[in-house]
Amino acid sequence: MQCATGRKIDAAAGTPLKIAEQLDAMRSDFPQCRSLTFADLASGLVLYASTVKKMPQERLDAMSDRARALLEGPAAAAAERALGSRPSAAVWSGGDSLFIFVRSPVLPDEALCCECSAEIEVTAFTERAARELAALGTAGA
Amino acid sequence: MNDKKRLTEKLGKLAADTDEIGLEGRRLASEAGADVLRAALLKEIDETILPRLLTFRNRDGDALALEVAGRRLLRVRAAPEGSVAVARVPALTAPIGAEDAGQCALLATVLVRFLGDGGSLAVTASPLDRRPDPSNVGRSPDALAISLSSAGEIPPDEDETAEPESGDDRIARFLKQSAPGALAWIRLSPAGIAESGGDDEAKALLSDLVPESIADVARELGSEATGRCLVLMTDGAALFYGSDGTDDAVAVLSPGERVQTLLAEWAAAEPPA
Repeated sequence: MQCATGRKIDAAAGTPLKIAEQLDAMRSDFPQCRSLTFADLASGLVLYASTVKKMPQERLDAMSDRARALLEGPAAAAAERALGSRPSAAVWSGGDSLFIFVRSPVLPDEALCCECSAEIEVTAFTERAARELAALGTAGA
Repeated sequence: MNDKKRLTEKLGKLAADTDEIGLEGRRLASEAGADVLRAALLKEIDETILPRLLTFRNRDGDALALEVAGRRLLRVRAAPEGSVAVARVPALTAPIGAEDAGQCALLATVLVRFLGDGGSLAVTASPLDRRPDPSNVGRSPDALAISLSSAGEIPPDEDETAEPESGDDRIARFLKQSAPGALAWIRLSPAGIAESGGDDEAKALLSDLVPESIADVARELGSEATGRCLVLMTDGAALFYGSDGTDDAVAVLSPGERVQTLLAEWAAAEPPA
């Protein structure tokens, strides 16, 4: 478990303890998930990270940047025209890993960035991530 | 299934002796739902100890041949009379590994499609013409049952969308599997749209949006590496983009519930190392 910065956590989404409990529980429910990063898409800040092994801050920041590129950038705008709404999630396959990014259904600026092994059940995982984000958003409202 | 239960069922079956033998083989079920056919197929694998080629025939006369030994499915073989697209999927006819998620998902999709919405199922068994490879552990009926229970929707008939033209690179193999279930698809080459299929409006959207925006983002994220893919999802739809490491790429607009299948099909289309 790794608390990345502590920034904005109280204001945005409940207490750090609550976030830690939720995200650590989710990661343990999906053993194929190696890291969960809770990020603010507007600022690019990493708010919290739950990881199997300690990860350097640069790598966590890169996950957040990738989430912004996929969920907020030109690709998201193009997908909005094709799909009818902004993407709620994105999956990027990189060799042995799947990177999954899920936007909060309650606070669209918040997202979970996840690195998983290729065996992860994507649909179940994204649905769970959306539920956790909704709970965090509601708790922080 | 434990040995005691298996023996009890076998004795009961021998005592009842209700299976009919017809031209298509021993009838396992007739006028039954898909769940019953699925259970019958798995049970047949579970009861096969010696190396056998089990050829199943469904209500439509389609055939699916499975190499089975030691109560495990070792390999899918393209049956000569089968219209199920087994022969075109090298990942399916390769020996079945225990941990290959992509192959497992494809296999489940093919089995679900073969069994359809039910009907009848018959089987013939013959000794295998080759000795099973001892290093091929295959897959147990229990593991198959789990895969089948999580298999996606049955893809529509292939004539409902345009078939991609022939070819044997990764994108061509992927499209042969994914195009039938897609709303629209395009294949991109440096010269522009090389092939396309599906709904005209969706196809036009893909042609308009993908080469400019989505391909750019994919490149920035590292699509120069072989086999990278990207999926953007909403609640009801998914936009898949894949690059095989050459100048060609593919984009598929698909129902949202097919995301897992698309990823599995992309992984299964990977050329052998």
